[in-house]
Amino acid sequence: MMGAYFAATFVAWTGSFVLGILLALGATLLLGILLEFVALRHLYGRDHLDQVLATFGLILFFNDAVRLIWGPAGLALPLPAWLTVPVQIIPGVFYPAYRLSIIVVALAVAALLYIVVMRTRIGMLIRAGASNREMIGALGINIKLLFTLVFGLGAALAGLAGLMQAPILTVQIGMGENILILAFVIIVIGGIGSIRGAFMAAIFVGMIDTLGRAFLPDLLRMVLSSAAASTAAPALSSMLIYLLMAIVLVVRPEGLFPAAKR
Amino acid sequence: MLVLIEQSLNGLQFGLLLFLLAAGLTLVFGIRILSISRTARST
Repeated sequence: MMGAYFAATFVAWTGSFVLGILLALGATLLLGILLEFVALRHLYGRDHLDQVLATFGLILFFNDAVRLIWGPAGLALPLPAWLTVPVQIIPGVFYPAYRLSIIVVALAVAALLYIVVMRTRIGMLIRAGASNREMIGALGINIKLLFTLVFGLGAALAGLAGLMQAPILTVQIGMGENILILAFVIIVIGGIGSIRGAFMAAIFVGMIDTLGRAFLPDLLRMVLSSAAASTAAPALSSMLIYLLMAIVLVVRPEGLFPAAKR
Repeated sequence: MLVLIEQSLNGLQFGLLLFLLAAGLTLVFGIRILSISRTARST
């Protein structure tokens, strides 16, 4: 949500879509770092319930901060002309360039993230911090700084997701909350701490959700009467994801691609 | 068929968007900055 609001503001300020988005990304990164520094850093030693309460409080805080700064009405993030033309992907099939560019950008970010975490020194430190935080602290790595950076990175990723979503939906208060639940479902399905698992699970969940919404009504209509199908289909298609999560949890409680054993 | 391709791409795009959000979260939880899995591990 913050990413989307920053993007809408900065794009309006600078008049350039790309520049505005880069500024918004930087702003969410800084916001993440600031949040970690001000609030979450003090909660690491506490119970996870305290952390949940604090982060939930932050959601409420930011919702109302946004209402204060930008007002209760939603904003629009207009697309530049070169992103609104439909692209012919295969002969006869047109697809909006903007949605295509989301796919490309997200794939690039996924690859970059993989390279950073698996192949660079900072990624090595992140993985080491995940498996044994006391030990790498003892080896002279500034673990607090590392955690702050990772938290900032997480915020920037969420900001990127928000601002890319912004031109499709409207920029409004609470726009991230529905999707946040889906993100938790994905983490649980993919295995907590596993980026590869998150990738697989995210594509899986996205496909099931979208295709379920698009085709389930027609599929049900083949078996049920038309009236019954039109009431059952929306309910069933919004349940599909959670059914999937329940099944995965029963069959593989650690998720599909669990992170390395600790 | 056309609709199928289009909706699959929409699904892919939505999934990748969710991945961006989930990747940040999973990194944060994986490194145990914040924890949602402590109770699960102790059982």
